[in-house]
Amino acid sequence: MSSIFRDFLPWLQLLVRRRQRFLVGALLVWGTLIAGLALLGLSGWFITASALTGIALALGIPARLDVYVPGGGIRFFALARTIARYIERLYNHNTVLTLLADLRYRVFGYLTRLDDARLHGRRASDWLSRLTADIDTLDNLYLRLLVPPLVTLLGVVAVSFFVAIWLPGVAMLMAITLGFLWLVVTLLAATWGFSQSYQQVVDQQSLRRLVVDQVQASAELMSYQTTQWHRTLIASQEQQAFSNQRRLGRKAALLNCLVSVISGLMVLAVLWLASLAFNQHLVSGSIVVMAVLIALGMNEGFMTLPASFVKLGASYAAVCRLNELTGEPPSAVSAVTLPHDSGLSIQVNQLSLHYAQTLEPALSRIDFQLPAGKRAVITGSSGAGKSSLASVLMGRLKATQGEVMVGGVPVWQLSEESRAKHFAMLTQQVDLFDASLAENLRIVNPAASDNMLWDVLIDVALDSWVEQLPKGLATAVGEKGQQLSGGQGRRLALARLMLCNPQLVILDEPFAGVDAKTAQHVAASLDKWLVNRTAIFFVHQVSSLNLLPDVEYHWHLDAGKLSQCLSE
Amino acid sequence: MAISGVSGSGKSTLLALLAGFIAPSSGEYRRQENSHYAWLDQQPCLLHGSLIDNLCLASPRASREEMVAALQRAGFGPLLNQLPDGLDTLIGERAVGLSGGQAQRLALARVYLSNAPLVLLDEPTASLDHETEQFVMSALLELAQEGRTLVIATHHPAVIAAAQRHLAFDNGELVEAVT
Repeated sequence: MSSIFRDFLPWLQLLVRRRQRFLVGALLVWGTLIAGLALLGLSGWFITASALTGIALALGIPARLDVYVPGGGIRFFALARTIARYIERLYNHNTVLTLLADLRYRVFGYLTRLDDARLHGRRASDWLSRLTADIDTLDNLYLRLLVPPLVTLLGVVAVSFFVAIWLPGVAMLMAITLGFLWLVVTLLAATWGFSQSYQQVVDQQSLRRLVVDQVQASAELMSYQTTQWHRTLIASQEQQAFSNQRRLGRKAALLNCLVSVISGLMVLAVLWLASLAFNQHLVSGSIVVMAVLIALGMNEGFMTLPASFVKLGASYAAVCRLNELTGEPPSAVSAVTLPHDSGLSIQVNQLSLHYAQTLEPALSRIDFQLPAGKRAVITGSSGAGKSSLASVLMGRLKATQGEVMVGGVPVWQLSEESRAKHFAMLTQQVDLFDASLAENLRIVNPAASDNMLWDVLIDVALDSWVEQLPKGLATAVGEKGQQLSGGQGRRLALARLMLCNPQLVILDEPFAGVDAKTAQHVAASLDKWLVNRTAIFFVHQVSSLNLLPDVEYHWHLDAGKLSQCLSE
Repeated sequence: MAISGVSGSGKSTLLALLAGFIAPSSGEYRRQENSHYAWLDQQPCLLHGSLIDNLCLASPRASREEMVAALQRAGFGPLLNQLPDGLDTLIGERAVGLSGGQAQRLALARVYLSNAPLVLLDEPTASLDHETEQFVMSALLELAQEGRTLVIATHHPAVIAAAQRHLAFDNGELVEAVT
């Protein structure tokens, strides 16, 4: 129990920061509930009182009833209930949306600070579900788990005190029964549905994974004729999730049923006890009816609670997964900035990198130096550790041992902005967004004019292709750039890179998937663009070496070890 | 059969048509009904899961022994022996944890596992180092000798030389090239 509370604590603290909104929101909900109960009770009293007065008059007994005050009261409560509900909805939705924005902002902030190793340790779809589904589950916390039970409890107290003015015994009965019921719909419901609602979140995640797999591997599934097999897999997982959900729904329904039975019995008991008091001439008939109607009305406050509390496990699962993410100590303060527009040298001392539980060979004791403005090539077969070295050089991965100094500053300590401004890398797998060619290019430089876009397209020999497209620069590239061929996608990514103005450039296989003639053109453009920039090429094919312009340094990476190659 | 042409000339589109991923706007394409075929492209789809999960895509009912055998044939054996969890080793999405060459060998193991009579390959060696490329190419030629039909999109001279037929894209036209 206490460990559950501890896991929720950081998120509750986030609420505490907005406690004023939170309290006002709760007060509005409470106001709505009380106005509703008052309307019900007063109406019951008024109708009965009118009837009794009418009967008395008909029997010739002198009687009088002030109809104006209660009539006015009924109008007031009816209006108050409507207005309070309207304002409450408006206000609390605003609160929840603000809260969601807070949460998303916070979680996204954590995601941006993760290094490559952590980011790739999970699937993209998992990160997405942290940002969306998990946070949505958390908004439950405020809207369904915190405010309603609090308001209901306050309602029970208020009603009991009110009824106690005339019928202390009845009030005692109501307080005890409703208090017990409150415990049932919160604590019991939460415990009873915990494991199943927890499972619900787990099920959703595995379902999402399977569906994403189905889409991503559609080429493989279609060709090997295994689509049906994979669909069956999804269907059985779905079935399992459904039956779990059904069990959970049944529990919520049973608890609701319990609430109805107990509160129904309570109404009967109130009627009976109040009638006894009436028989002893302790209270008037209209008070009896009022008490019964109020008891009946209290049911409303309890109806939504079981369904919310059986899902506590789901909120807990979401909170746990988010804690896993936010609980990690933030990586060391990285706030060092680089001097503007001076060349950047690279110095690597005794660099080693070990991955936990992956197949990639570690980098071991790498040493090299590259003066500012010079170009180097690092060759190596696939799996030799080129991508890892590139990530470490870019400060996207922390070395296990040793240090990378860029411009005399340890690269791992550079601020995010500094790295974004001074570093650029063409990765092996390029990321293109489902947007137009122009939009994909302008990601790095939103202010770039059309002429600048055309210039870089000429550099990568895509200009004539774009020119003959009916929509030109506005042509959509499709999800992950699917509308482009592999070589076109890479060249577009290279063009995008050439739109920024970095001091240090890493190009991982810049000519992969590009035919020889085009590669020569691209190499010539790169030669011009790279003047005064420090550049490292990563290539695996020695055949593409002669394409690389003006390279003065050549190292070879083999199984994580770097050795000098004789330059020609 | 090798299909060549400059980058963006339509090699991948033709292969996607042959695979049935896209339908032709006009004209007709016929393939033996319900025949399965193997597909291998530059960046094979590797799922976030174990090696077994990934091999299952090609043949859900394959036994562990068959999987190990396919991995051995694909040159994944030495790596597999190093892995403490063996076939149950988890690999990441986008094949993180595996290098490009290792990923391609794993994808090749799928081809072996499937026994597909037709193998469609879209620049299978484009992002591989020389050594792995040699290995993959000889493995593919071995597949051809087994009697499987191979259609390869490539601009690699050695691959084109080894093919029995060579079609080239020339200004949007597919022409039979002289090998």
